Amino acid sequence: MNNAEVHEAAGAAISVERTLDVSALLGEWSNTNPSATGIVRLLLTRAGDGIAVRVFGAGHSEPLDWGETPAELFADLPELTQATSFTSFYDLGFMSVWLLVYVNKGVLVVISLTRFQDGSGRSNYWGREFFSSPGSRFQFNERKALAHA
Amino acid sequence: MKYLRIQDQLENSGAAAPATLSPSNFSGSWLNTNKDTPGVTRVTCNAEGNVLRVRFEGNGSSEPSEWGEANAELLCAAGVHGGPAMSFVTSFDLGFKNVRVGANLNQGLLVIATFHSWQNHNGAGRSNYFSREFFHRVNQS
Repeated sequence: MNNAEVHEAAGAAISVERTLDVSALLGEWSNTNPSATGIVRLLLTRAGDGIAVRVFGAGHSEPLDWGETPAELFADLPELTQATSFTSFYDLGFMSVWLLVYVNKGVLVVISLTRFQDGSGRSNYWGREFFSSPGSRFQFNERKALAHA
Repeated sequence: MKYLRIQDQLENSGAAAPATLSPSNFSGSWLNTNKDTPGVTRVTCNAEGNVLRVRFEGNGSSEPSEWGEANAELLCAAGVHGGPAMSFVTSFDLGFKNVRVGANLNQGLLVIATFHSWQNHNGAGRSNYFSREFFHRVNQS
């Protein structure tokens, strides 16, 4: 099946932009490693129909605020409407960072791909860190699923 | 040297040199560990110098059988001190959807996260969606 045929199979007759339910992602997510030297905290807030991402990096005296950036949201399947993952991009001048983020068993998994743009000789590098949120509905859903297992 | 994470600091900033990343560890063909996957079935990576070309193939049902080829937009090492590339980002424009891809090597497997965004109102009421799949290297013997 070529691209056009797959497109047809996807059902292009109805064109409706789908808005995802972001409620389970919202809130503050803290690195599960209290000694993390990368990202220590993410704040996910509602922004229109989507979310805004605010990253705090590990600093020597206090967390370092990266500011806010928008996110593109994704569900686990095309048929589902709960947002469980997102991508974001930061261009911070001296470096740019792709964030590829998804939820796995109630934990927010954050993959960061960093490019240094300041000629400092620092290598582009990849990192993966894990975050939890006390009020996460994903954790609630997981417990509910286990109770019915 | 500016930083927004402690781990972004180099201990010896005077030793900084332009970093180049070899993508050769990705070279070859990779098959999905799930033979019944509805998603990407095979990934082929070709490294030429510091350029990595990536080709995806699907099963032809829910995903196209041929995605075409894309260059890695960003190659990354495991840390700020460099080394061989162990991760990359790229994207495929399939016309009806755009797919951003993040990939990394982990214990001999190629782990691929795909973020599928419908384009040009082609979602037909479907959501943009995420998938993560695992690939093993095809034996070359």
